[in-house]
Amino acid sequence: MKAFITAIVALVVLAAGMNFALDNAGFSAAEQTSSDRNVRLGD
Amino acid sequence: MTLLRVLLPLIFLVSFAGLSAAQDTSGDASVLTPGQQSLEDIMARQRGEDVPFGAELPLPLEGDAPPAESHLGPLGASSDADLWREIRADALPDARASNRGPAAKVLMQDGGMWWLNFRHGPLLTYGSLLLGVTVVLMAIFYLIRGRIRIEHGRAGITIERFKFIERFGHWLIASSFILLAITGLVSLAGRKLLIPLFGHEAFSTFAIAGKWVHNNVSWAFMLGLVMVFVMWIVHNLPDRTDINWILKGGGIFGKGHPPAKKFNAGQKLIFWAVIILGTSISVSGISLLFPFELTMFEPTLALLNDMGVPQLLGLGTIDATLTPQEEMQYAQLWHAVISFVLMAVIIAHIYIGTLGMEGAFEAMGSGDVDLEWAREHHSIWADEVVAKQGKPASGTQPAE
Ligand code: HEM
Repeated sequence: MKAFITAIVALVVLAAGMNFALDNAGFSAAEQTSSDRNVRLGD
Repeated sequence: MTLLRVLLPLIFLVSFAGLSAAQDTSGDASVLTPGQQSLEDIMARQRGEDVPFGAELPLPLEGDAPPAESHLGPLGASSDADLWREIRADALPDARASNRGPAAKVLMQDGGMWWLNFRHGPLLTYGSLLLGVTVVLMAIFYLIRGRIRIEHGRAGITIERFKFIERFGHWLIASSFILLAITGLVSLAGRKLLIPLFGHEAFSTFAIAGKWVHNNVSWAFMLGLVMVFVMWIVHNLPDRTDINWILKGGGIFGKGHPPAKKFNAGQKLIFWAVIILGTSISVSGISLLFPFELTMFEPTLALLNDMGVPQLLGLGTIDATLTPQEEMQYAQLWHAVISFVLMAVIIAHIYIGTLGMEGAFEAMGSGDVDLEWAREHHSIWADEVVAKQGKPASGTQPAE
């Protein structure tokens, strides 16, 4: 039971942590195809 | 909006190229350019015959097009059909896009429709069928065989089977896999199954949360996979006891159990299925999570061509040039198909670990199993543990 609870805690921490890290690294899968940062406006 | 912002400049640029190309054409008006549809083609397709579309045919050479005056299209006397055929075949050498995304220059993509139909159709149908059949098989097995009991009753003495860290690794991969399976199925089948039940609003909230979970819980699965691999590979290398175990059908029916070490041949199969399929799901998942970063299918198809595999199967040389979108589509299909297979394997695993066998769950629950259970299912391992420990851990009477 303790191993199971610890695993759930690790799962939550890892999920939140990786999401935070990827967000901070500026990574977004959605922006690969639809970001206006990728478009040159004006010249 | 964003799509329009991308498309409009591109179409604008490209139509200039098309205009100038169409102006200096000459030749016999009665001859169709390669790739151009004839009335015959259209009629045949309506009869259900398999007539290739323009993009699958060779492209017209420059100057091969019929004279401009034979067409009266939207551009007046010149038609842009050739141009659109080129766009469709992704064969515009001069295309430029202001969007810098990896797939920005592919305007039309024939493979997209096939993929979408396959994803909504056969993938969902056969995938759910596989899971359904597995559940039914487990139920039938339960009805025929019943629960596999500890034949000679509990010894009342336990020995340690899995350490804390092993159980932690197991529950990490198990809880993440179950979350991933549920949220993955929601994103595959939700549109068809859940929207009619809950409506668009509620499903949207649920699907967005599910996507967050699916994307971020994947890391726990990968960590669990690595842990399980490192901790248990030594116990899962095939050896001679496996042959005997398989020949005796694991002793599933009838009396008596073939001897086994820590893991029997059936468990080894589960282990390798988890490792191989789990790795494949992880890699294709990473390529979906970081779109257009990993190119896996084009080199694989090219390698298969070089090795002569499709030729051997009578498929000829397969087309190994994929658009970036096609790469992603194949990654999605692969990810889903392999996941369905692993889900089926895991359904069987969960059955045997809980309902199917008395005394099994404790191995992953407390970590300690009854000595008699161990002797029946893992005799060689049980003897080793007893020999090493001198005597079993708990509940034992002093020897003297
Ligand atoms: C609620 C879900 C699950 C339960 C109740 C469960 C239960 C168990 C139990 C009791 C064992 C120990 C068997 C023994 O003592 O010999 C075990 C082993 C194992 N589990 Fe699970 N498990 C679950 C989910 C999973 C999942 C999702 C995976 C992988 C994706 C997984 C992978 C493994 C592997 C590789 C082993 C070692 C080989 C084997 O015993 O077959 N388990 N599990």
